[in-house]
Amino acid sequence: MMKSQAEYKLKSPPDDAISSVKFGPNTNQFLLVSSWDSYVRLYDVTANNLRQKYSHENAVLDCCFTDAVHSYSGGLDNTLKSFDFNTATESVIGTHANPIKCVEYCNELNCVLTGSWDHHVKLWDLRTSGASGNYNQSERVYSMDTCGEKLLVATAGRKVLVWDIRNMAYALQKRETSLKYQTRAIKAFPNKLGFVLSSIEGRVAVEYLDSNPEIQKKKYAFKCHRIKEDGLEKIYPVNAVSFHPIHNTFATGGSDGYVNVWDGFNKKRLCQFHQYLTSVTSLSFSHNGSVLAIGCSYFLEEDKPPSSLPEDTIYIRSVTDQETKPKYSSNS
Amino acid sequence: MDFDLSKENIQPLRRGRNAQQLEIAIQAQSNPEYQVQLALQKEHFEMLIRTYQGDDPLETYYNYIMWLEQAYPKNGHEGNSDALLERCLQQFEDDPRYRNDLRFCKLWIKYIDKFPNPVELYMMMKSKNLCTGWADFYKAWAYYYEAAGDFAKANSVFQEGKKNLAQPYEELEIAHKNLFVAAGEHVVYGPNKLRLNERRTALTSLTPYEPDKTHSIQLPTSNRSLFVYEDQATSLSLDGAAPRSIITAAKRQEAPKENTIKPGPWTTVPQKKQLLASFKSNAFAILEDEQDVPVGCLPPNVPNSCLENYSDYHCPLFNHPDPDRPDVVFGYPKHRVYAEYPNKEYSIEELRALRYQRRKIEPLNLFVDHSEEVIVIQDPPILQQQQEPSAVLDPVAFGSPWKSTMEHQNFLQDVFSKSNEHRISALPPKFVIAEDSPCRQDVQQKNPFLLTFSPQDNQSLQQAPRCDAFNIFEQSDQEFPPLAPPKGNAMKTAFRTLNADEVETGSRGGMDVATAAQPADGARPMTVAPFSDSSSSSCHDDMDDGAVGFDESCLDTQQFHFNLNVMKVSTPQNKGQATAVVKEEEKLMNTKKALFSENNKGLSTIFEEKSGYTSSSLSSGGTATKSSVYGFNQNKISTISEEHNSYLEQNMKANEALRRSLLGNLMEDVLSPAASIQTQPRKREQLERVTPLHYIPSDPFNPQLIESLLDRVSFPGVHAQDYVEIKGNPRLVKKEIVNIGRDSYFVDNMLGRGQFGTIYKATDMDKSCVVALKHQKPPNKWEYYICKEIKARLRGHPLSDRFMEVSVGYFSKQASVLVSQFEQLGSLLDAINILKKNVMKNTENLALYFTLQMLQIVKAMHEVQIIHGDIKPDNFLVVHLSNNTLSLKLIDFGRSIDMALFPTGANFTCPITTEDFICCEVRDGRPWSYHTDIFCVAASAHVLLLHDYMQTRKDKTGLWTIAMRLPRYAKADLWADFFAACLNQQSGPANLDQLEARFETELKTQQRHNSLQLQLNSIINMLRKR
Repeated sequence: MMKSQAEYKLKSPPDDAISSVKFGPNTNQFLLVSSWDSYVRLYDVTANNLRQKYSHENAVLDCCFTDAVHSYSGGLDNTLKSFDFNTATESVIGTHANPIKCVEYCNELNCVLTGSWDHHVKLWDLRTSGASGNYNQSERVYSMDTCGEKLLVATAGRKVLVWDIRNMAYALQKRETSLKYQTRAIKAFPNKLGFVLSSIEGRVAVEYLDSNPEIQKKKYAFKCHRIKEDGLEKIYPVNAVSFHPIHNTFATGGSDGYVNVWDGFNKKRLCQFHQYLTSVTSLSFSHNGSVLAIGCSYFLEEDKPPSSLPEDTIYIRSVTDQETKPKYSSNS
Repeated sequence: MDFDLSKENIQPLRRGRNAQQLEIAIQAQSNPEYQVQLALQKEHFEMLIRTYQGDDPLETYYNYIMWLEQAYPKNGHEGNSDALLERCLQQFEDDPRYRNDLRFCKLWIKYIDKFPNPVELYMMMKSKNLCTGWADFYKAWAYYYEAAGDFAKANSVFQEGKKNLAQPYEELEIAHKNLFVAAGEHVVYGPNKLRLNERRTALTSLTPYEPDKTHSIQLPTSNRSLFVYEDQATSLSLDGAAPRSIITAAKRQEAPKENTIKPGPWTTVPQKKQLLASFKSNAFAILEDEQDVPVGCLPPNVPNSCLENYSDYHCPLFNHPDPDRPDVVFGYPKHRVYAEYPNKEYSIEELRALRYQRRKIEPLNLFVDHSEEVIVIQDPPILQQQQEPSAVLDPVAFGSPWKSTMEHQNFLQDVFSKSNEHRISALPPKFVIAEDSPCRQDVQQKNPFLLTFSPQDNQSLQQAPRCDAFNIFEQSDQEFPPLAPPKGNAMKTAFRTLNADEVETGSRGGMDVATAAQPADGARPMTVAPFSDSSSSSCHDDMDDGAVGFDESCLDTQQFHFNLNVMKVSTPQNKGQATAVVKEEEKLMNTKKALFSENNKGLSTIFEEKSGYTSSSLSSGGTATKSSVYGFNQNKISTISEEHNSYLEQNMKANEALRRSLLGNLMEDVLSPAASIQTQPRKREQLERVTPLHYIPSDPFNPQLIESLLDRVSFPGVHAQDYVEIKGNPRLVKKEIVNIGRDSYFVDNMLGRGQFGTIYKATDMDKSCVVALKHQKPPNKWEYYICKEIKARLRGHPLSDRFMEVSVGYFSKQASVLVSQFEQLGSLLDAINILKKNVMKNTENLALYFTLQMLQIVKAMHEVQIIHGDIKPDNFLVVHLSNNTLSLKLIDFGRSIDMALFPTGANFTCPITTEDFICCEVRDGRPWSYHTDIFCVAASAHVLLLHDYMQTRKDKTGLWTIAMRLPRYAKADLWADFFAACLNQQSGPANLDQLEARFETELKTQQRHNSLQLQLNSIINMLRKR
């Protein structure tokens, strides 16, 4: 069946919720997965096996590659760790005062940035030890993305701060999201012109960095990841956003278990995949956009969760141009 | 020579360097004069070159270059010899005159050495037949092969040279032979870098021109057909196509020439990032930053913090929120995410993280059944800004004393591990918390046990489990079956029977009751709070320092809740609150307080009575319960006015029923709550005295009573100036600095530890004085109150300095620290022990001396209506006065009674529990008040005099007397009268004025007076040395 070839589950998935999946730079083969089971795992996606794993003291909330061989990760243990896959050695890079929520690598400046619930973003220059800087965002960091040499930080309280990583003595911009409720994820467009925000209540916004009012006029938001059935409307958080590196389209994953692919500029949905067995917590396109990793774990955090929770799984899906490439209508 | 001292890199030259010239060269580095000289010389040479008319222009160049070599220690590089060389060679490259000129050859060798691939150039040279008649040429060429380890090629070079009869031939031969030696050595020892370098410099440096030597030789014609057999293996093609100009070919090599590029800002090499091509939309202006910073890495001086403060920038949590619709359901716990709307929101990860935080403290095994994960209590959304639930997560933001979650967790771990000592199971049991539906959520079923306190300012509720919402325990090693479905008005959560293991045996009689009464509806009872502890005192905590200060009663209370459930008495508040498991000790305390201050006092007391425990710790035994019922009554009325009266009534009814069944006639002095109590003024003006209670509590030590009394006097009230509120529990560690409030203290060492808490000697860092810190958990406000009251009431009294003075008291919800003056000489007990050890013969003088002091102190105290309640030698400090005498200071007012708050003539019947200091009234079952202090003075005097604790007995006439015999030397009559009076206060507290006078007179007698002073001196010395 075509489907089974186009999409398969990874073997040896984590034992607890998946917090982040990240493809390696310049690779369709290696995927880094961080989980609430305290482990960070490296998968060989093409061979479908688990290559290596290392652990933290507590749940890991985010991870990233800095190059094909090194990963950085942090989580509830407040500690930023690095792992060298060649030598299988881990090292503690530094800590925050509270859990680390986001770990991002800035390719242009060869540095790692961590955002934490202690309200601070720390900058880690890979050439030196220790943090190069510790920057107060004045609220808990919920999501981050690098955009060239800029850093986009989405915090609690519906705020977004835009920084120039090279000089974080002051923020380039501080703004309120155009979403109505709590921000879940922020991701920059590959063309660096703007970013996408997703909220906890089934909404996604496309915003632009240029503060020119003419450009700002173009920002918009749309509802998504909502299911209407039996006369009830169920609204789900949109947990993950990932951009196709080439087409500038983006996929969103929600707690409803769906993944949608959107064309942000034409304001259209390109595709919706089948519903996964549980919430989608993280997405990552490979570097050439041909493969999408989908991390699925129970994340509804109900007051009374079911007695047996669905499995935590990672799906590897080959995506086609048809699913991810913008279609240009005559009036675009 | 100065060049010895110079740091300059002096390149050696084969022919050696001219010392003089070298010196000049070195000097020229720093001396402008010399530089000028050098420049002049250069000019000279240049001029020579330009003006040369002769037929050997190479010579001038050669001399020039040679001079440069000498003049500049770095082999001429500074003098720009390279460019010169190049110029020269280029000029004469094709000049037939110099084709085989030795000088030319040397110049070429020097030149080619600079390139990364010299052999190529040599090959080119050879193909052009340039300098091929010179041994040096081949030696240099072969050198490069040798340096690379390619001896085969080097060999073929030499062979070639021999073929061409290069001159001087012997040199060539020798060099050739050396090659084999070198090859052998190389194989055995590896390359000899030193030798190689030496050869290199030798080869490339110029020799002085000797005009008489012919430097040009006739090269054997290249077309000489000399057939040389060459082994296939060694025949290496050394031929190459002759280039037009070697120089240009050479230049084409990637010569890493230094300093050819002018130094400039190294950042001016921008690399444009490749823009993504397929983006067709043209509506966007491409945003590019100015490219003036280094690319590929961070700039060197990145600011290390943000200089601006964005904490004032607030955005609303909801932005034009969608109107509430009934048909909407959310795929996330909205009520928890926005539990603190509009002040704060929580992300789903934060909510989840709360469960995972505990894993740091107790690694779970596989029992983490997601279905068993705790359900969080729902609190009414309208609440003041109180302790944030995520104080656990966010200690920094809330200014907790912990600098990190880790520290906080470590503290919690300590707390729990200590409290766990008293528990049999190692892990705290898991709590399952009732879930209420929030007001906003219509979809979820309404929980009848919703905590619907009206959010009035009830002090005791202030710490209500608002914060408990997010404090959850993890599952312990118990198997936890799925939740029972809710039945009737029972809780949704499942309860669990308390196992015998989990509950403390022995003093926990209440357990039996718990296990006996099984819930009828299948709901299982809740587990016990892990910090309920062995102290069964209903007074303030008499427990070990580490344990949290909760009475056993709280354990029983919870069991009792459970029982109530059986009886279908709804105590939702209690359950709800009781089930709210708190991670933070203080929160728990508040919850418990809330429990106690509400309807559960009665419950707790009933159990105490039932159990009739005999606890080893100091506690009022059975009768305590009686008083606590009182306490309950009185407190209930005074503090629970805003409660849900319906629940209260139900509880009351249940209490009544149980009480009757269990207690029988013990409660003879239960007063019905008089309405007048309610109308008592809670606040008083500063000058007015507090109106005493209208009734006499049977147990003045009851903590609830104490609490209410403190309320009554609006504590801290007039004593507020030294009352400092702090947060958390300061960590007092030996040899470490602790910050309490705004002050810092350096903790020297621990002086003592008891049920009350721990005392440390410390240094106040601001005032640079030594102090004593009394650290108590839970906080002891009463002691502070009493100390302050005594000082206030005794203002102006000559003996006012004989009482402990608290300079400042730090109070938090968890602990208190009282700061007082440190007395170096220790306590009276220390003194007695020293005396015992040193076998001082006749200590009667000291006994008289100190007894008199004790009497005076106690009299003064009684005059202002304070009973100490725990007088013993340990509680008197010895103070060295300036006139070389000693005085006593009374400390430790934790068990004191303020008689001013009770009706006049009040007496108590609850027993004193300090062993050996139980007054006769208690033994006889007679009521007591001030009697106890007097008795205890006598008991202390006994220890002073007889070095042993007092044992009493009744004599034939039924009067109390001491068991020991008085020593012969003693003033027997005085002492006998003294003891008789103190032990027999049947007609009221003894009036000791007469005895005092007798003591005084006795001490003033000449004989005693002198020896007393001596004895005082020696005891001072002994105490100092201890």
